[in-house]
Amino acid sequence: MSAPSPAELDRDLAAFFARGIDAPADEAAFDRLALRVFAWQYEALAPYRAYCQRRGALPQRLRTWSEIPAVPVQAFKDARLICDEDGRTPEPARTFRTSGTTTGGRRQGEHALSADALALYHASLLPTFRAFVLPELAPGRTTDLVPLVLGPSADDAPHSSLWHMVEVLGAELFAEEPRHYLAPGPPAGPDAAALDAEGLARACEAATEAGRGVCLFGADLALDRFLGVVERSGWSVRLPAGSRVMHTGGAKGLRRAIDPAALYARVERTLGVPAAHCVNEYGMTELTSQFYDATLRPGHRGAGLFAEAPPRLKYGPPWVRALVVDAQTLEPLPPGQPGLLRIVDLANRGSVVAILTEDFAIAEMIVAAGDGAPDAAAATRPRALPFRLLGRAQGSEPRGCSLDAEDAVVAGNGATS
Amino acid sequence: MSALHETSPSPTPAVGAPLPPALDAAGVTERWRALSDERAALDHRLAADLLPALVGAMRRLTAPNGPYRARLLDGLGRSSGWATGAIEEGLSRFARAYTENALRAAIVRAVGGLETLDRRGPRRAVAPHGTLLVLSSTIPWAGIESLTWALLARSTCLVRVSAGEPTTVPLFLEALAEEYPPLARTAAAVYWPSDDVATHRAAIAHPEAVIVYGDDPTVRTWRALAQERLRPPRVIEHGHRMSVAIIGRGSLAPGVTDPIADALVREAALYDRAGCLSPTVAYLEASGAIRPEDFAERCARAQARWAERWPVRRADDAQASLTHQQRGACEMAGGQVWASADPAWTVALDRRDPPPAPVPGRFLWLHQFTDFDDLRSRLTAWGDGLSTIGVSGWKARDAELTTIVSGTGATRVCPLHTMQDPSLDRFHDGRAELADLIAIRDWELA
Repeated sequence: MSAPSPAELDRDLAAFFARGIDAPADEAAFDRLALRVFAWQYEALAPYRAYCQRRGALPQRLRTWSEIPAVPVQAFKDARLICDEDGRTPEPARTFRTSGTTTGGRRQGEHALSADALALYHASLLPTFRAFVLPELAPGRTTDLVPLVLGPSADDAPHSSLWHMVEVLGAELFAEEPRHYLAPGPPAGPDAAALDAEGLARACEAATEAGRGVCLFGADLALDRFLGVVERSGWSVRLPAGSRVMHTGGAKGLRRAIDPAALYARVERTLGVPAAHCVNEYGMTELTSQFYDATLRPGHRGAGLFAEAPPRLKYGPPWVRALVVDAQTLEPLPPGQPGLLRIVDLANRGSVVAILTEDFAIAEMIVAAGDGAPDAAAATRPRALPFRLLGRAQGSEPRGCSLDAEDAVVAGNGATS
Repeated sequence: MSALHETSPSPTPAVGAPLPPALDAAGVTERWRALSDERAALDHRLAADLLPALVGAMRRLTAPNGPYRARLLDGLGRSSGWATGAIEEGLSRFARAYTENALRAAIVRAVGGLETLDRRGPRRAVAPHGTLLVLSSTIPWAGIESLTWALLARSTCLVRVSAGEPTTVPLFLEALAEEYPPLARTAAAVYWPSDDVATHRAAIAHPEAVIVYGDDPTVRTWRALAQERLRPPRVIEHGHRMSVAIIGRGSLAPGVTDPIADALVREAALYDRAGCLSPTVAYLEASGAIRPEDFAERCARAQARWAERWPVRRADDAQASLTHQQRGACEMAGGQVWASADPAWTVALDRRDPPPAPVPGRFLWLHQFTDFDDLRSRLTAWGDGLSTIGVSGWKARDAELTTIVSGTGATRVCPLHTMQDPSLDRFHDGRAELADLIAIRDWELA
C-alpha cells in the first residue's frame, strides 16, 4: 500500500466526518481510512515505524483497524509524536500537555498538533459535541444557552486540551462568550488560584432571572468543590429547563474520588439540573476526538428520563473505534469483559492513530430490536461499540482534567484535602 | 485519616493464607494489657539466654521435613504467589544469616555488647515499654528481624500482620513458644482490617515505639497517628526504597558476562522484585567490551531461565497495564525491549534521562553510562529512595566508586550476587534498628 499525501488524507477524512454523527457505522470505509492513515504515519513518523516493524506490523500486511499497533499513552512523554509533512516536521500550532504529575523529574505527556491537525481536531470536536450535548441545535446555528466554565480560559491554560476545546465550542456553538470561574492550576501560591463560587452562583441567578438556560462546563473536582461551597451557604437555584452540565475528569488516583451518581444528585438539588442533563465527556490529551454519555441523544437507550446510572455507556463519533483488550495479552476481548481501552481515532492523523490507554472499560454489544442474538463471530469481531469506563489502573499516575482542578482547588482558599 | 494501604506481594493470590481472627479496639487494648503482665518474667534473664531460644525457633522454622517449614512454604506460597523454589531460596538465605554469632555481632555493633541489653554495664539499655510492629507483606523475614531486636531489648511486642502475609511471624512465635515460652508470651501476632482506624488508634495508644513497614501512605498514616498522642511514641519507618546494580567493564567482557547477567536476574527474580533490595535498574559501563544490546540479550535469556525455574507470579491488571505502557514507551523513545509475551518479565535497554520510574515485577531496566559523572548523576536522581547498590566488574576502583556513591542516598554497596543478603543488623535505611529502638542510660556508679 503506497502512502497517501496528508492533503489527500485530510480531504478524505473531512468527507468521512461530513457524513455526520448519525451516519450508520461503515466498517469497510472506516477500515480503509484507518489503514491509509496508518500507512501514512508509518512513513511520516520514524519512531512509530520502528515500533511497528518490531511487531511485524507493516502497512501491506494489515487487514483491519484493530491490527494497527497502538502506542501507549506513556510514550507521549518522551517522544514528540508529530508526523512529518512534506518531508519535514511541521511547526506545532498547539501543543497540549497532560495534567499528570511529573515523576522523578519526567516530562508531562505532550500532543503537538500542526495547523492541519488542529483543523481536524475542530472538525471532530464540533459535530460530536453538538450531537451529544446540544442535540437540539440545528447545523449552522448557535445556542442561546449561557456558557459558564468552572475552569480557566485557554489563554490562561494554553496547554490544556480541555480548555482549548471549551474556547472553540464557545466561539463556534454559543451565541455568547464563555465566562470562567476558576483560575488555572497549579498556582504559584495559596492565594494565586481561587474558585469564584460566588461569581458563578450570581451568573446562575442572572441566567435564571433572564429565563436563559445554562451550559456549565467543569471538571468533576471543581464541580464538587463549587457544590460544596454553595451547599454550605444554603444557596441553590433552579436553572431554567434545558440547562445542562458537561463534566469531565476521572476519579482514579486523585486525592479525592468523586462518585458520579452522588454528584448528579447534588447538581439536581443545587442547580435544578436533572441527571439526564449531566453529560460526562471522556477525552484525553493524546486523542483528538472525544466520547460522551448519550443521555441527551434522542432515541438513544438511556436518554431522557431514564438516564442510565453511572458508569454510563460512552459513545464516540463514527470516525473513532474503542476496543477493549486483555490487560495481560493485549488481545481483543469480546463485549462484556473488562480490559484496557485501546482507541483508534482517525482524527489523530497528525500523530498516531491508535492509542493504548491506561483506562479500564467494558465494551457493550448493542442489539437493536429485531436483530436477534448476535452470533459468536459477530460478538468477537472488533467494531464500533460503546463502552463503560471503569477507571484508571491503580498505581498509574493521576492524570486527567480533574487533576488541574484539583491542583487549583487544593492550593486555593479553603483547600478540600 | 486514611486507611492503611496493604502492599500485598501477590496481586492475585489464588487462595490466601489464613488470617488470625480480626481484633477490634477493645481486643487490641486487652492484648496490650496481657503482654504487659508477661514482661516482668524476662527482667532478670540474660540476652545470652534469649539468643539460643530465638535461633532455635528459626531452626525449627526452617528444619527440612519439619512441620513449621511445610506450613511456612504453604502459607507463603498461597499468600504471595511466589514459586516454592524462590521462597525456599529466600528462607535458606535468611536462615543462614540468622545465627547466634551473627546476632551477637550485630548487638555489639549496634549497642556495644550484650551487657547493654542486660542493663549490667556502664551503658544500660532503656527499652521502650511496648513496641508495635506494623508489617507489610513484601519480604517475610523483615518482620522477624525487627521482632528479634525488640524481644532482645525486652520490649513487649504487638505485631500487626498484613492480610497479604499473615504466615511467617505467627509461625515463628509458635516455634519460639516451644523453645522458650516466657519469651514467646511477650509477643503476639494479631490482625485487624486495614480500614479499621479505631483499632489503629487503640494499638498505638500504649507502646513507646512503633516500627512500620509499608508504602508511603501507610507510613504517613502511622506517623500521623503517633503524633495524635500527647507523648508520641518513637516511630521507626521502613518505607519504600529501591536498589540498583552497577555493571563495570570488568563484567562486560567475553567469557564472564553470562554469569553476571544470571546473577543480576536472579537477584531481581527472587521475590519478583517486591523487596527494596532487588535490582530495579542496572547501569552498564560504556567502555565494556560487550555491547549493551548483547548484555541485554543475555539478561533476557536469564529471565526466561529463571521464569522457568521460579515461575513468575501473575501480574494484576494494573501491573500488566504499566508493564505494557513502559515497554512501549521505551521503544518509542528509541530503546529496545526483550520481553515475555505476557507481562511476566522484561529487559528494557533505555536511553532516556532521567530514567523512567520502576515497574513492579521482573521488569529490569538497563542504562548505559558513559563516565563517572554520568553514573553519579543517574544514581543521585533516585534521591533518598535508593537503598542498595550491587556492584560487579569494578575491581581496584574503590576510590572512584566511593566518589560516585558519595552524593547519593544509597545505604549499602555490596557485590551484585549478595544484594538480597544483607547482614542481620542493617536495614534498608542504613541504620541498625536495635540502636534506634533503645535509649542508653550511662551508669557511672562503681
